[in-house]
Amino acid sequence: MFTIFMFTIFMFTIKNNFKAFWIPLSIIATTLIVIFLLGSILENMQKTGVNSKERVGIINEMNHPYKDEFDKMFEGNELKKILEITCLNENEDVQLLLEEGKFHTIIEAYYLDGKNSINVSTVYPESYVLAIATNFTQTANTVTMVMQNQGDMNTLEKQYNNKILKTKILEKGNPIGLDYYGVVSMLQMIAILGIIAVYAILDDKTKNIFPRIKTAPISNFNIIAGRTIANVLYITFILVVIATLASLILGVNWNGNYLVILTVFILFSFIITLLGMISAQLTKSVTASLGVIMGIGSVLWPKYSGAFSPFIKSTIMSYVSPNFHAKNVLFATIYGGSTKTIFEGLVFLFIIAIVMMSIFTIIERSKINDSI
Amino acid sequence: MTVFKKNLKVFFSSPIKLAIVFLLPFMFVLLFVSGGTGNLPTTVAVFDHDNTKLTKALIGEIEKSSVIVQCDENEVLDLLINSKVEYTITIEEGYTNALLSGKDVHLEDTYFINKEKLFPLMMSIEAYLNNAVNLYNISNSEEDFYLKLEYINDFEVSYSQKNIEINSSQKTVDALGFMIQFIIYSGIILAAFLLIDKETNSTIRILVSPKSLASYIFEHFLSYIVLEIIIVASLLTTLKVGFDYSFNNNFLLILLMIILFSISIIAFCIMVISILKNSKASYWFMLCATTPLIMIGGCYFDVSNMSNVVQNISKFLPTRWIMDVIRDVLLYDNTEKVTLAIVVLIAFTVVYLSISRIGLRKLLSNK
Repeated sequence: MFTIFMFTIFMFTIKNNFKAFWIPLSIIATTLIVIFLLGSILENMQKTGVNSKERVGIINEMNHPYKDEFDKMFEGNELKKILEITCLNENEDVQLLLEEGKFHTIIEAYYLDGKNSINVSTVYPESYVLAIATNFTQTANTVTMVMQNQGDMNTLEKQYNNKILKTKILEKGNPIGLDYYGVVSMLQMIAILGIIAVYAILDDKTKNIFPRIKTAPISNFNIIAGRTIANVLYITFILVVIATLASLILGVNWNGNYLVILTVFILFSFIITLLGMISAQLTKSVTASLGVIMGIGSVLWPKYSGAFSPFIKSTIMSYVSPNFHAKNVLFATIYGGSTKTIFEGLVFLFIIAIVMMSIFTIIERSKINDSI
Repeated sequence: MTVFKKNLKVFFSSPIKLAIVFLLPFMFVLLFVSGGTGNLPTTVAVFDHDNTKLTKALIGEIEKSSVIVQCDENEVLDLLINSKVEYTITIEEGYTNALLSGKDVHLEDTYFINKEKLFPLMMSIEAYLNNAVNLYNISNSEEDFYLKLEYINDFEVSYSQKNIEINSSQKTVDALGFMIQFIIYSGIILAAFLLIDKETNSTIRILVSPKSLASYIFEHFLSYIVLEIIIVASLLTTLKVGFDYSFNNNFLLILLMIILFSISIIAFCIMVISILKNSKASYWFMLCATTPLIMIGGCYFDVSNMSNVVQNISKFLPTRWIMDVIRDVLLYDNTEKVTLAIVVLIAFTVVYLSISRIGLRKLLSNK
């Protein structure tokens, strides 16, 4: 199968790729910068617990002593670190303020019909304020019940305020921001290399190689296979370099099974190469292929692997994203996931590669027939 | 105006380019912003081996703000890795008795990476169980305790919450972050006309004709500006009218600012093309520059989350200035930075175009 002609094409492509040395240099440098930036942001968020300060409006019209206690709670420096608090008048239109984006969350606390009620309206289901307001309500009710029973909170023999949760660190540790983006951003950035496959295909077209090879002993299979293998190995090589440098310079954790990691790199490189080849075949234009590669390889697929935010849910769309499966396999081998997860991810990557290869073959056959 | 007319004709006769510029941005806005990504409720797996009234009540409390997922305890790590579960809590047998009798016992929790998202939930669990123990300590019997526990959310103070699904200004900011990314892509696509001229040596042929270098660049630039105005205006109008995104009566200001930004991006692309030797290098540079330009410029994250060094570097990027204006105007109704941003974006455009002129002159003299 691997003929001398294929080897010639393979060597020619490899030589061509490495001749433009600024390509690997720039992709490696850019990827390391992106990993560092995003990793640092995530680590900062994990320390402070917030992405950006939540803007909270408060209308407090409760009766004594709840009104004072509620105000006192929000005056604390700890809450000011994570919330941007504004006191509002009771006549404000809450829905409008939220719609206009002036606030993320508004607390309306009133004394009505002999009872205090706290209502929180928010555009953030994960708002800190929900937890704070719930805690206030529960603690206020507990204190009231204790006082009604015993007259004073201090009369409790031992006021219970212990630590309830004890976090179990994963067997091989939890990833920090740099570890996380070291994997997902690398997979996102490497998609740009699909442009190499675009050039390979379009060069063949513009130089009219296909009609000419029909009269030569080199089959078009040899040309395509030679070019594909060369591009896959080239992208895999760059992935290995990025992973190694990210580990050495940024301390990104890559302590998994190296054979599994390499398999993922090869399969992923193959998929990226196929993406470039398919887009080149379909669009016949570098500019348009670039749009397809950026749209699918740098935005759509990475989105489902959590490249833009770790807050993702696996959906049907995740299953067609090679970044999602590659990320799962890599995290599984690095952080002690089961063999089932590794195997499942590799199978999905393989299926995606096969489907893309079939699409490419169908287009290729129809185009060659057209040109002849 | 031959170059100008040719560029417009070529652009509108390419369905793929039109799809990339006009359809792809909305596809992504629909997928990423309208579909909701950042504010999904936490998925929690609770393994309750104690199964008491208190642990059931705790699960009920967790369920108010999160989604409880049923799964096998042995698969926890895989589910955390696959993003199917974000947080797990294990309640050991005998936990309730030990807790209520004042023993130092804990609930075991695990997560993979999303710690910051879990802080409010962790806080709620801590507070709920601490209050429960305090109530237990004043209760006469177990029945009395559970009766009191039922009133924990509704006694002297009651609590209710409303999650509001609206097209808030924050959503518009998120959508515009994506739009900015596609406006950069459209800039690359448009500037490719100049690249094609350069590759096919048309630049040289045109420049040896009576057409001056200044008028050649001007016609290219003018065609890009007209196309960018059409692109930006259609994208933003569709976002406002078609998708009902809120612009807080500042639609025109945002539109003009983004048009100004797109012009600076066009100038940047022209500069890259005029400096670099061939099309491969130009495309490559623009591709590699796009992601950091978007990330450091604050299209996805507020720049204030980054270190001071990165924040200072970002001031040299047009993306930072446009995103600052978008955030200030839409989220805070603050137009203070607008004038400065206009000056800076114009300055970027002038600098980029001046460098392009030098680059093209050099190309001409070499040939």
